[in-house]
This record gives sequence, structure tokens and C-alpha cells, in this order.
Amino acid sequence: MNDKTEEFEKLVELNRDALYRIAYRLAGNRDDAEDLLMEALTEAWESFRHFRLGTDFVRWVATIMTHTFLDWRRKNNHYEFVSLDEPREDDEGAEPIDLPEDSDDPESVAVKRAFWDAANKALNELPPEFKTVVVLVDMEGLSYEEAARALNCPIGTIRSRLHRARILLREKLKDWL
Amino acid sequence: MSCQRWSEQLSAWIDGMLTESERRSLEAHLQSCETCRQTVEELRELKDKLQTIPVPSPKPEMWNRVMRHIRYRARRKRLTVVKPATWLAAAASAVLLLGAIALLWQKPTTSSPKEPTINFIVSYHADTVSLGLSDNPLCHLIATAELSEAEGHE
Ligand SMILES: [Zn+2]
Repeated sequence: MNDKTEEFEKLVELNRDALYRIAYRLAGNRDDAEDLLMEALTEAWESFRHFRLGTDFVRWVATIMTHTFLDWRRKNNHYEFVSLDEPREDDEGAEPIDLPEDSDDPESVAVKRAFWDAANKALNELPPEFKTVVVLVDMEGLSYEEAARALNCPIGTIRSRLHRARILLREKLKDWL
Repeated sequence: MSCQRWSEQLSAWIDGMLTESERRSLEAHLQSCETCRQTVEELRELKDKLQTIPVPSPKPEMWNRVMRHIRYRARRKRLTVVKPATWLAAAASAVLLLGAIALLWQKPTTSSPKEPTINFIVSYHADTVSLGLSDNPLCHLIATAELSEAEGHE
């Protein structure tokens, strides 16, 4: 292993959780998140010489991941949209979720779970360009500027996509708000 | 109806992304508009709730598979970069060797056929290699490097 490889693998290792989280939120399930990570990290490795040390590795990979995700969805050949009615997982879509400590009350757990399911379904039904903005800004906390850089589009586009996405989500999730 | 023009600004307002003047006029509108205030409340709640959606832990051994895949692809890329160049060069040479033999066979009376034939081989060889790989700049680079190396020996 040369220095570059070592450096890359170290950065991946250090940022595992954040990288997986973004992949999962974009892809919507664990299998596709794994594929997305493989694809995006391979690409990241291939252009690692363009990565400047000192810049945010996670945001840099997130940009690549976002493009890979949008690419899949445009081509639609690799990325099969997993609907919640037809789970691809062996465990019938019940992905193990580490619940926060304070959620002992089974009723509130059930309510939360129902919201998460509904929200994930609603997110997956958004046009991919809209979903991406929601994931980056609302879920990952990027600023409009950072999202604009990641998606290579003007800030005004981020602003309007985000709003339209939120309006769609509000409509789909109105029972929960 | 008149609320439509404010709609997009409601989201930006929640995110603190309005300009000073946009913010002032929107806030004036919110003072008097129950509907937009309601929308703002719902959008804010939506944003908060989206952040609570948990991410399940990855499937067992996922990172091992991911890292193995990256290393495999990196290795395969190195192999495919070199292989077609060598393979194409060999194929081109074989084709041209046959061509040269045919040429010699057909025109046994030509005064000195050897020199032009050799030139032809070298240039054709170069063309084939760079043409065949031109869609991949990395391959092109290596092919060019191999050629210049080969040329150095001549
Ligand atoms: Zn209004």
C-alpha cells in the first residue's frame, strides 16, 4: 500500500459513520446504501489526487455520492426503487434501528416508527433532485451555498427546490404535523 | 391567492436565508396572514421531525465489503489500463506482419519493399493503439508512454 492509498483509507475509516449515514439517507435502504458507498468511494479514490487536504472529506465524498445517486436514478438501470410494500431486505424491511434511551414507552415508539416509515416513503417518492436537497440541507445540515456547490447549481435553485420539496412532504405527511 | 408570492420565501425565512428587505416585508405579511403563519409552523415542524429519522446500522461486514470492492476496482483498473495497450499492440503487429508478408508475396519485383513497409508498420501501430484507447485518457497516456519507450529502442 502506498501513501496515497493509506491516506484515503484512513479518511474513510475516520468518517465511516457520516459517510454511511448520507448514503443511507439518499438511497433509502441498507442494500442500496452499500452499493452507493461502493460506487461513490471507488470514484472518490480514482479522483483522490484532486482532493486537497484540509478540505472536508465527508462533504467532498457527499458531492460525489449525490451525483452517483442522481445518475442512477436518471438511468434507472442500476437503482431499483425499493418500495416499502415490497421490501428487498430479508428481514421484511424492518431495519434494526437503535432507539434513543428515552423511548421506553411502547406506544410512543410505535408512533415514532410509523412516522419514520411514512416519512421515508414520502422522501423516496420525491423527485430525486428534490430529495437530494432535503437530505443535504434538512437532514445533513449543509448551508444553501454548500448544497449549491455540491449539486453544481445556483443558490436560487436550491432555495426553490427545497421549498417545493417541503411543500410536497408537508402534503404527504399532513397527518403527522 | 396573494399568498402565493410569499410561498417560497416561507422556507427561506425558516432557514434565515432571506435578504434584510425580503425578511421585513415577509414578516409584515405574516403579521396579518393566518394561513402563511400556519404554513410556517408546519414547515418548521416538518424540518425538525425530518432530523429525528434514525439511520439503522449497516449490515454486518458492510465496511469490509466496501473496502474490498474499492481495492479490487483499483487493482482491476490498473490491469485494464495496461492490458488493452499490450494486447492491441500485439494484435496490430500481427495483422501488419501478415499484411507485410502479403505485400512482399504480391510484389516480389519491387526494388526495395522493406523500408516503406517497416515505416508503415510503425505508424499504423501507433495509430491503432491511440485510436483504440482514445476514449480513456489514462489508457491513452500509458499507450503513449509505451510507444515512446518503444520508439526510444528503435
Ligand atoms: Zn399569506
